[in-house]
Amino acid sequence: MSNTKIKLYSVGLATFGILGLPCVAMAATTDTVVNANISSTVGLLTSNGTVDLSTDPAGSGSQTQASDTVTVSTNDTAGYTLKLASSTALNTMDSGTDTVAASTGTQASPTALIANQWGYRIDGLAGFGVGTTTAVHDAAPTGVTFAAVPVSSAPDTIQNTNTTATNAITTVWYGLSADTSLPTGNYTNTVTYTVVTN
Amino acid sequence: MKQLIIKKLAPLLFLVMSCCLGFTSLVAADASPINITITPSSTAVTVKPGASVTKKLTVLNEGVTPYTFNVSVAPYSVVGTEYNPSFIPIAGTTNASSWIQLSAPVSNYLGIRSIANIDYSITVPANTAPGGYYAVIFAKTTPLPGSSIRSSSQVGNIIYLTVAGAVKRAGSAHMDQVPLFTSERQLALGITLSNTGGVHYVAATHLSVQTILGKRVYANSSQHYVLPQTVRDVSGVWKTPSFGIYRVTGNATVNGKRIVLPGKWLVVVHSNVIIGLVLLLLVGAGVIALRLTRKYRTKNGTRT
Repeated sequence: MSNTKIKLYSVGLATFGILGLPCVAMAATTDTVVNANISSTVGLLTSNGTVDLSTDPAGSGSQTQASDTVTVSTNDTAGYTLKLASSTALNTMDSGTDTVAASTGTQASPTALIANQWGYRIDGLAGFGVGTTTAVHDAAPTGVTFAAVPVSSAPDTIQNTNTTATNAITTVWYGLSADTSLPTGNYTNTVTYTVVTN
Repeated sequence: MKQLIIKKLAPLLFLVMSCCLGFTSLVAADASPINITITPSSTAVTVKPGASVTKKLTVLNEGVTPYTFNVSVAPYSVVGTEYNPSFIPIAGTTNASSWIQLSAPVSNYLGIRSIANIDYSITVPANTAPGGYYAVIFAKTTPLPGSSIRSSSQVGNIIYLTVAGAVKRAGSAHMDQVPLFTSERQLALGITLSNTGGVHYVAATHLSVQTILGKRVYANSSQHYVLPQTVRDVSGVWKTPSFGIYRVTGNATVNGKRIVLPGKWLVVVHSNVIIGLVLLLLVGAGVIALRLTRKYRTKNGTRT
């Protein structure tokens, strides 16, 4: 083969290589769509699991107040609803056959506890007023207003949002007033915090 | 020698004792936080009459306290335009929660930082009318022992069930009333969605506020289920600037159809701005009155 022919073949091959490369490159590409479906979640964290309202009763009523911290997180953009109720159809605190009655107040119209009553309140919610409730133990009646913890079939809404939430805190205060007519005993009630997304 | 050993050991002994006492204090002061999460928090599923489908949910303990939790099923409905959830049966309506069977035991133990997968099936009776039916699956912790108030934490996965078949789909959206003028520092802006059909839809809503030059100063977008034969308010709060003229616009997707809502004009003037303007007017009026008085006196002085 003459030198000229070799040169011609080489140029042709090189040209083909340069022009052909994009074709090869184009033929090697393809599109892939990557999907990621993020599920909605809702979580509930309570600080203690129990709230101690132990009280030494006094003639005119000795009052104890303590709080529970409820924290909600959700990635649902519609937000969440948090509810509170007694876990049963009874909203008294019981020790055998002895009971502490629920407050006569409601979330819309809470009332100060009288002797041998218990209830809950949340500062800034509904009729409770702004307040800055503090923990007290065996104190004289504080005049702070409380509502009855509702029975299980009719829970109270204690928080309602319309956006995602990360560690959104609701502080629930519980109060009990006892006088010396209340028999000694270990009075308890189990409450249920329920959260669903909106 | 003895003294040397005591000298060397005493600080070490002190350190060990301090750690032990400190650890005891830490343990004594530590509470028992209960942490329960459910995912998904809502499930949309379509099932034909007479058919069955199996789904799964997951319960997570992301905390440091193990607990036992129970799973249960309850009806789900809503009350009022604020969509207050209700979990009690409504007399005269179909209780879809009875169609859901849980494969896991009612009671489950969940250790620290653990997960539990719960399978469940939905079996729709053969003669069920097409449309929307609703229930919620709950995971609820068993209360810890203790005195006074004990608490259970309950999280829910709402089931939005569509029974397949021909069903009326209808609804509407309109913007809530926007005043022409406001002096409020916060203004609730919302869209009211209605569903007059027989099955739920997901409404995507969008509200925004722009200046007269078109600059957006507020936006709120969200997605909400709207159950059949209900009306739902979806709103947000706009913190208004001191003054200005604005246009409120919005749109909503109802049954897959995008509806553009008529825009509304709004004039914002805060009370402190009004007070400032009034004071300015009074000062201005005072200056004018003073000048007029001087002019009149000068004229009178010239005449006499």
